[in-house]
Amino acid sequence: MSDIFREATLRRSAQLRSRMRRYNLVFVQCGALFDVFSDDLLASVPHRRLKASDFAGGSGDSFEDVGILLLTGVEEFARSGKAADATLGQLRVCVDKALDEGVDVCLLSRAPKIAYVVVPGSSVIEDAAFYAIPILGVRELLPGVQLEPESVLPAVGLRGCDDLRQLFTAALSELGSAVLEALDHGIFEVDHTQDFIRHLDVRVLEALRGAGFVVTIDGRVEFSVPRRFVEFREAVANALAGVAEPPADLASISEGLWFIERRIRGSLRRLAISLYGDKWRKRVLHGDLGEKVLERARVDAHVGARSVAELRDPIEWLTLGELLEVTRSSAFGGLHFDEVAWRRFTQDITPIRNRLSHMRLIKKGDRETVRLWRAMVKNTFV
Amino acid sequence: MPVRVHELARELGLSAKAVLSALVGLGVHVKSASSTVEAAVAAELRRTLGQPPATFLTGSPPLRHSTWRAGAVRPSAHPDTIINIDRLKRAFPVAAEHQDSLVALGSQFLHTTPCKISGFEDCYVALVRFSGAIESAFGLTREVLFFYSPYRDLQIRTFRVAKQVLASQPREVTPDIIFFSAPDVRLREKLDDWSSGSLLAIPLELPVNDDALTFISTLRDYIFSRDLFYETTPVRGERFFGRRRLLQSLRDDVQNQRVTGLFGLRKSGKTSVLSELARNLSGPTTMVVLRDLESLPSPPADPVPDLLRELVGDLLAELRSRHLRIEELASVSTELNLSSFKTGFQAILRELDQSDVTVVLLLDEIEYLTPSDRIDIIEGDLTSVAQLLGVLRSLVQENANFTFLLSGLTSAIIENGRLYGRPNPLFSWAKANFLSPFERHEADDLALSVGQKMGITIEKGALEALFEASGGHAFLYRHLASRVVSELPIDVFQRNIRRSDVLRALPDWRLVVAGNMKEMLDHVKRYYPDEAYLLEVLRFEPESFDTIADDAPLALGHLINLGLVERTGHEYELTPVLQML
Repeated sequence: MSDIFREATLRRSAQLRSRMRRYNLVFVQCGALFDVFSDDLLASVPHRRLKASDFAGGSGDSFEDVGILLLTGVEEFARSGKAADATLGQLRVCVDKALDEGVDVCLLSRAPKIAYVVVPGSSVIEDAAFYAIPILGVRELLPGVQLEPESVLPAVGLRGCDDLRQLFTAALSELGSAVLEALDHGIFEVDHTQDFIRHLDVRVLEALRGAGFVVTIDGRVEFSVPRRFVEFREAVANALAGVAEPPADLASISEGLWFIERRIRGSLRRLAISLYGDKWRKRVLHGDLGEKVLERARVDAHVGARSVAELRDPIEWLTLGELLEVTRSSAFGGLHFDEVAWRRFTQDITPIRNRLSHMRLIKKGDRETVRLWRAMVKNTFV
Repeated sequence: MPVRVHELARELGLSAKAVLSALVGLGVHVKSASSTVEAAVAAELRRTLGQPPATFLTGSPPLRHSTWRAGAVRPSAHPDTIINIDRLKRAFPVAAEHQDSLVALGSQFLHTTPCKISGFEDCYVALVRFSGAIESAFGLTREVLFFYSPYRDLQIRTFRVAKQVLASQPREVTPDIIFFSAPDVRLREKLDDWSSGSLLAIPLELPVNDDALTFISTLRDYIFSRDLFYETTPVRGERFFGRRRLLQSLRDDVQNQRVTGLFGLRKSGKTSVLSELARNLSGPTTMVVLRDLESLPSPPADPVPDLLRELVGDLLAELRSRHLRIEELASVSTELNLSSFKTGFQAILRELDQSDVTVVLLLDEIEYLTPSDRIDIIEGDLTSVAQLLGVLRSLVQENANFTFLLSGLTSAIIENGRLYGRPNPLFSWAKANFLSPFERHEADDLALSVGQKMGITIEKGALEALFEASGGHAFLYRHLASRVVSELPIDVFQRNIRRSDVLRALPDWRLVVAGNMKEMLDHVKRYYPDEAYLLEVLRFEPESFDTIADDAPLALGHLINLGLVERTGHEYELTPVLQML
């Protein structure tokens, strides 16, 4: 190990120890851009190292003699809150016990905090103070390393890298679908420049800072490799394209949306029947909606239908936007919601429904939003 | 105006030689004690050598002395103490130097004794009382433990022994600081590694010269580098602040056998309140079992069998530790179900009633029984949860010496008429308490007390700014105070938080804490949908809020109790913590 490397490692090690002493429980995000550092960094911090899932499912041994307990592989809990036979709740119980014994605990994770599933009660991930390993300063580059914009990233500056896009893709893929979705929105939908970070949520910025892509300068967050934005953008696209695993919240969100829409459609149907009797199929849809719905139904299932009156339920062929339009029309008076509720509903639910319709990634918090409206609809619509 | 060295020495309570030496350290060379130094140099010297704080706010001990010797402690005149101190000095000659330094600083050894722990009899323990000036400046209010080890290669087992000695002191001593002496060249490095947030180990590396102020510098370096505001785990005992009215109300509920729920936002301090309540209630005639439910499987998996096992285990352990009869409960462990649990527990309660012993069950993280995202708790099919609550309710009704308390995020467990498809046994029977943010006086009390332990005074304007920015939310308040403290210099002797310090820290702090706030709000969405909707309306369509809130008085009440909405005049507003989003 060169002196420069050793000094860079020791500086971060001292910083981590100071953070441990201050906060006792620290979450360290250490992913692909920091792999080159991790072993030496951790070796310079006296600790006892255990796999987090083993620790959580362990025998409850005392760790009183251990100054710092380093738990690795915490990211295994991210997707479902479970790893091996242990849960995040059990991990928290064990961590709290160690903290009570005066042991400082370091949670080492390749995944950022935002990637972790929400647990019912308190969360050990949320309890822990966040520590982002700093990227390299100019004086920390190894002699002979050509000063390129990306050299500040440890994986490049300390080891060298032939394929920057591949490295970026690997680092981004570890951040989870919520971060990728936010980057998709920020880079490809809102702002096509490196200013995309202005449109990101604090939790996403924290994840990017932990990954080495974002730095804080004088209280402002900045993209750490501004002259490599093109490579970064392509890596985001690659990482997004590589996501095939359904998000952990998908089932819950689909179920919620399904319930919400079925309940609204059912409610509209009942009111239409009570208003129009047997003619409800024809009269429920205003303007040219009847024709649109009939056309749609013919293409898909009701090939021989001649009139909207022949469809079992024309309301089922409305898109969500059309359904809301009909429901909020003067004929139906918004059913059981007032105008404020419909405005909030439209703003909250429509984007989630669209994301799901196109099999795009879902956002952190979508599950909670759907849950809220599911409860609202359930309590209001009969 | 120039100042003579001897005047400066008198002012600082030091020898002239010490001041001359300190001046050399500053690069100022003077001939003798009669020489003068410029006012700027004198000011720098005062800052470096540590003129103690001149003023403290209300709530801190009044201090107007000008030297570290102020409020000097009298040496013990008790013959045994004098003999024991001599023994210490014979065993550890360095202790004589320590004593000289302490005396120069108006402080004294008050008690010394060889270590009584087997295998470590060659170590020594001393209790020191610092001068009033030092105690005030560094927030010390009690004697402090000095541990003397003869080992050149200090091992962690010796450190552990010192911790054990500290924990078992019969006298009231500072519980989280140890001064450690050992002839180990790596003493400082080792203690730094072994220290944790809950215990500060300060190496005694006093110089052999008469510069006792080095000792003050060491104290400063260590004590000022602590951050006692930041708390990760629930606080109890001396670290617990405020909530007196709530605790009293909960105690009353327990004593009157009223089943109660304690609900609040994430990180609002629920577990701390429960822990403190358990600590207050526990005694010879009250057996408290505090059970955290977070290690249970949650619905759709049935959490009840595991919970019963854990409860029986906790109760048996508590009964055994009190040497009480366990047979009736122990016998049900082999075939444990709701019915056998009730029978066994009932028998134990009757037995305990004979001895006037009451059992209080505190169940924390109750949302593991009612996780709203997994299953609908009104219509789900997990009947065992409602049955368990029914069993607990009937045990309360049938036994005058049992009650229980639930705590968590969601009040649905006692406010919903139905629970998992069955009538909710706690509906209209248990009482709900909400954990609101700190009141201003509680927050001030916390800040001043914790600040004092770190040698920090806090101006009134700063207290106001801390409260305004955090809304008095326990976690946010501590987090912000911690952030402000981290920005204070530690190479000075007067640490003071001003309003401007708080305001300067706010932008960065808001960035850091916004994630926590968002996470808290996501939980409101999950567990309080009506309330979350009201919040959304107040945030985005405030003109419609009053009308909508009129139709949802329970939800509005929850929001006010949770500290998320406040009434200003005739209007409702989001509290400051939400405005930061």
